[in-house]
Amino acid sequence: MAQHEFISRFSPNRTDPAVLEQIFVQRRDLLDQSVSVMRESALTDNKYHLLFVGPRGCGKTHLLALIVHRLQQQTDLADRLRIAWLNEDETSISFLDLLLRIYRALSDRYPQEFPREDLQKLYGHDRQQAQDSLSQNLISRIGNRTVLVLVENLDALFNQLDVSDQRTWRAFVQNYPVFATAATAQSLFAGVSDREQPFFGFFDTRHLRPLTVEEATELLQRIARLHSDSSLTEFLSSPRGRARVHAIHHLSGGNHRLYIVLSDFLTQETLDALVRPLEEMVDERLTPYYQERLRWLSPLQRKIVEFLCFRPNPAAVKVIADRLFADHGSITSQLKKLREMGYVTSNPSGRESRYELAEPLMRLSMQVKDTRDHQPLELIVDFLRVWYDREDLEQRLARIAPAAPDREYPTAALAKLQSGEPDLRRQLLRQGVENLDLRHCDPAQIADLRALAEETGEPGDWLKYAAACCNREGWLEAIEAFDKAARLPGASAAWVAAALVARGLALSGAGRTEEAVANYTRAIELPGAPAEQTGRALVNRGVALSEAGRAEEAIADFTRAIELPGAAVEEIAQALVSRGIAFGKAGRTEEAVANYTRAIELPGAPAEQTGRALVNRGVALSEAGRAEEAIADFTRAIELPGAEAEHVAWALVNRGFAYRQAGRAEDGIVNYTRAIELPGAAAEQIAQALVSRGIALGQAGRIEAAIADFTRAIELPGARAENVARALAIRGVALGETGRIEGAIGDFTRIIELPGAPSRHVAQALVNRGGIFGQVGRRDESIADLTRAIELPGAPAGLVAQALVRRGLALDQTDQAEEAIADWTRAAELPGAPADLAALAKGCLATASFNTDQWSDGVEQLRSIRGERNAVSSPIPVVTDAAIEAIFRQIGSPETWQARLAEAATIYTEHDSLPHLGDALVRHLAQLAKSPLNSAGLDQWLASWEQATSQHAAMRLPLRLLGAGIAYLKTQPRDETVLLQLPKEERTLVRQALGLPSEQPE
Amino acid sequence: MLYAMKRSNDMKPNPGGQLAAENIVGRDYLIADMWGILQGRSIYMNDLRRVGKTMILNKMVAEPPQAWLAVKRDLGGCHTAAEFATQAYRDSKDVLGRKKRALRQMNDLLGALKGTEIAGVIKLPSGTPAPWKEVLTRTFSDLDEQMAETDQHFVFLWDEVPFLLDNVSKREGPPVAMEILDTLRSLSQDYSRVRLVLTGSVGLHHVLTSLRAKGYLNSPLNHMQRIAPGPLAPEDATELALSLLRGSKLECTEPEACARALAEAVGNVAFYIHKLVSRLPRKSEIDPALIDTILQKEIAHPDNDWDLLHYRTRLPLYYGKNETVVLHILDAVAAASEPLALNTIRKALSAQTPFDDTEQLRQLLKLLQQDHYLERNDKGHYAFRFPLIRRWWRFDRSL
Repeated sequence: MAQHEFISRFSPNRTDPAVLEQIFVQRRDLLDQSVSVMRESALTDNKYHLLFVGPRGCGKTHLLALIVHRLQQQTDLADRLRIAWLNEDETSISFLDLLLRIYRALSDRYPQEFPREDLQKLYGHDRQQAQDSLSQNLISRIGNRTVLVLVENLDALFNQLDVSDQRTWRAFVQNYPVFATAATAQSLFAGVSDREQPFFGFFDTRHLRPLTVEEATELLQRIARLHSDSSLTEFLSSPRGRARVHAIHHLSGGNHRLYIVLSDFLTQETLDALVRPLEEMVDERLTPYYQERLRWLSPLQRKIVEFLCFRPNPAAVKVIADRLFADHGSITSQLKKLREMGYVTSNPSGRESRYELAEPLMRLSMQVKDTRDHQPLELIVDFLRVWYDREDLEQRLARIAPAAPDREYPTAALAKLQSGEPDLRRQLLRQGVENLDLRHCDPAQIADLRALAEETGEPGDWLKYAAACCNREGWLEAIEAFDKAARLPGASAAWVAAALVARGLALSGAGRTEEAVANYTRAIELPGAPAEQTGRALVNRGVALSEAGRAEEAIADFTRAIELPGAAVEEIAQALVSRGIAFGKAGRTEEAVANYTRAIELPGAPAEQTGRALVNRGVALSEAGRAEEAIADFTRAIELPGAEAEHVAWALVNRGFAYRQAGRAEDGIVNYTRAIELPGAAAEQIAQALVSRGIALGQAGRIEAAIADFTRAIELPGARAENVARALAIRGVALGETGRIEGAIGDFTRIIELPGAPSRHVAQALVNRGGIFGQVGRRDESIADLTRAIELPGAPAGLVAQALVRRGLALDQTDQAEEAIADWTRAAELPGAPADLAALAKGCLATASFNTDQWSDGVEQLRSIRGERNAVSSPIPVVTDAAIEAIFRQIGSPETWQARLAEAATIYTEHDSLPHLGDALVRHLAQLAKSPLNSAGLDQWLASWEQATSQHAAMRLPLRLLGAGIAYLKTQPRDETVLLQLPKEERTLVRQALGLPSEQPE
Repeated sequence: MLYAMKRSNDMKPNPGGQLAAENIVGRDYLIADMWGILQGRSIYMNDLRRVGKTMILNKMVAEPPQAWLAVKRDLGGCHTAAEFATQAYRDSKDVLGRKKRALRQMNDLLGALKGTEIAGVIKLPSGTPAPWKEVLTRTFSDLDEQMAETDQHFVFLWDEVPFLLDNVSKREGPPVAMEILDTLRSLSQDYSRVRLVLTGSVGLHHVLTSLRAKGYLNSPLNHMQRIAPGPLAPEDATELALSLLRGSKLECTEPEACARALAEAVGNVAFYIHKLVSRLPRKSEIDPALIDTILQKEIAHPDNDWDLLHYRTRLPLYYGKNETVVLHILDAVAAASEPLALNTIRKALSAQTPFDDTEQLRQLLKLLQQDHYLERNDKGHYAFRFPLIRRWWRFDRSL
């Protein structure tokens, strides 16, 4: 084996920097950035002050050493930068001491530029004189260069200096901006993080994370490569090697120094080389350090830490309080402080948090105390048990002379391996995944699960790993793992079936439905598979088929599951609910309701399925208009003992909706509020409840409260983009309607820019924003938005049609009639556009035709609108006004206008729309008033309309109003008394049409 | 005086560090205003820590207008009145040193006393410090005379004045700190060509409060123009964020939108802009949503160094028995989507607490403005002054 490169475990600055570079992991970006800003400090007036925070042994000095090394490599900095790496072991109780340390550090490195003799001259003066003189001298000797001051354990230095010295130091740095700083600390401390302190916010703080397992493996691999140990490099890349590093990681945490120590041993032939340095490290460095840290704590804090030292896994507050005979509140507050001080970490587990040591090596402080009569240190014994197999240890032990003292550790390790104690490696790996919520694993936890599965090779462990992958949508990894579990030699039919079913789920998730169905089919047909798995496979296959639109096959599978002999009640309940959903989708509401009812009444059905069935039945009943029964179901779901928060939340939201439908708006609001405040409700449900409550409040006229709800939904962490977009859309409309145009535009803009917002929301936002721009005269922006909506891929036809109609109107207003007609024509012919919008487009086209005197085209369009079923009335007034205007324009040519009048009357009669025609005729009085038509002409206008339409009851009132209006127009001077022939309500209508002021009450 | 908007250089984030004058973005209009004010009176500048007061002084000293001489000094290192006076003299000497007759009276004093400067203090041959008031007065007088001769003005830009006063108060007793304040007031009124800009990390009013408790009755800042610089103007803040995003070489396809989002998210405060950019991941595409997520993670992390908790923990100290009412006020304002009218706040309070005293509410709202929690818009409605604090408040209080 090649000669090992020297790697100092405690003083990285004594290690060859080239070696430090080679074994540097995890923080390359940070190193690059740090070097870059320090270079900038040397070359410009910008001065950077960095603070690296992390526990002992986490690689802080290694990082500093590389910063210095890289800066020294840059020859252009030779005249610009000086390094002052302060001696870590010196104490500074005053600013003068600190200045002396800086000067001495510079003098050590650059004796010519910072001669030691200068310090001699200070001695004998009083402290203030010495400080002033040294300050002046230092600044003068630095000249136009920059000094990079490296301070380790800055927290300790701050503890030594009082506030007035800290102020003096800060003022010195501010008054003489020739210093940059790279400092380290074991934790964040008040001197830099407390707003009242002089150095608050002064340092750019970077927290150094412990190594992850992957980073630790990389570190070990790099060291192995450095030592040219190819077999270790290879082993570390193997599944077994990875699993071992995982186990070590659980034992010791991600401490860099420990891995460096460990790496050295792993490459040694004999255990002797492993044990002694490790023991030395533990004895001389780590143990005193941790014991010292414990001494800083209050008695109760120390008791908590000691308790956790003996605890193999994280503990809940209650457990700690019980064991220490302390009250819950005190323990909670002390744990909070301990977490802030970096002693413990918390892991959320459901509603509570579990606490463990932030640095597992702190256990050493207890172990050493507990070790009597030079017993081997447990930590080292455990290392051996975790890293080596029994055979390996036996072989290594055989190489040690029988009387050699180095036998004690491997002997102790072997004794434990042989004593029938649980396999520590597996135990550690299993502990690492204990209490994991497989639904919410992060990548590191998934790697832990994989390491355990690799180590044990048990199907159950592979299935857990695969399930965690599924929940993060790592379908391919999950499929591979399920495959592995299904193919494991000796796996029982039950495990194989479970793996196949789960693999089917993963395939479904990956969108590979056919393969999923094939997996379920294999599970269903697997000889010896337990009924539980067959039932699950049937249900899952049914769901997959249902989603693929194969409803009948799905229903058949659910039915088989329901009727399967020996099927578990959970599966039957799930099959009933799923069959209910399938019936519901097929419009077979009664059968759906019957299935939900069976599930609800099924003895022993789990609360989850009962809740689901009640909610679904409630929704089905609500849709069938059976509001009271629906409300009763939602109520049962809400009150169901053991119901899952998810179902309770949906039941509350749906009950709220049902109450509102039943006219009980306040009850609706109360239900939404309960859903919002429900512990455990998902963000999606809270967002939905907020939006619904907002709508209810808005309808009740409580606009500001409504807007506040939409705002909460928008700002809710974890809310789905769809809900956020919906809330923004409604808030935008609400703001627009209350005159807050900029706010509305802002909301619509956010939807448009919202990553992941569905196309329909984006299209709607564009149409709405375009509408608002149009309203406030920003026509170009309006047209641009509508164009974007029209061209947006995936925009629904209805919104495209709406945008086309609106853009047509905007274009028409800017005299771009041809483009406008093209838009309306496109909207009228757009496949899938709703009838009312097609009618609106045609109305616009008809209006354009009438306005340009293309009577026949207009009539054709008019006929087609009137032919549309469900055509809403909104386009009609404009169109009819245009039609009457087109008739009236031909007043000089009686034959033409009378023919047109008759044609219009016929169309409106045929389509049962005479009231619209009548309204328009009365409105047209305003035009008559402005026209130069004489009395005879006016009479003729009236007579012609009477002749064409008086036989229709719907036209009698309009004709009467028209007659009175014309009588008024004929008076010279105008005499309003002629209108008295009409009753008051009719007079009001005529006066409005003629633009006359309202009659004043007497 | 008008300053053209400059396009800032690309630069790296440097939260809390020292910046070259050319890298101090924005503040041009404020600084122009300040020079204008200094024509007539001295300035006391106060605002939250880390809002950028020192950077304003740095930019002023780097780019003084014509006919102005400026010197900037952090006084946190002075612990006695004599050190302070000597520092003022020393700085004046550095600026005027080359002029022949500069600092005539001070030279007379030194000549008459055969004094010398030792350890930052001008001392008599006996070793006792020269009378500090005399040193200060002669320095101001010399400066004023010299400036009149050349038709110029002189300004001391003094940072960390509260630390100076606190240091002196502890070392020499509160009466000396009071004397310094009174002397400065008198000197800055007597010598119209010498002006002061006073500022510090913590508000001078805290020091005054503690001096008042010891019998100090004067109002030394009354003659000064008070300035609260506040955050950067939104366009400057966006410009700064853009320069930092570019200088950090982050992957960002829409840098303008990201810069805008970033600046808005931290309320246009330069320090926080630097800080947030420094926390953005190097290996991900940066977009406004990611910026928002990172900021949320930062302020939600139990070990964060943004010290926003300060805004909660100082309430009992600042508001005593009114803490609960203040909490309700801040909750209501934080939860609302827009600024709230006094009446709306009153209703929100009366719905949740027995509090029903509109006059006291007005007082509390005034204090909340002084303590930089709230501000009023042109309609008189109340909102959080800094969106970042509102955001954190909502998070911390689960609103």
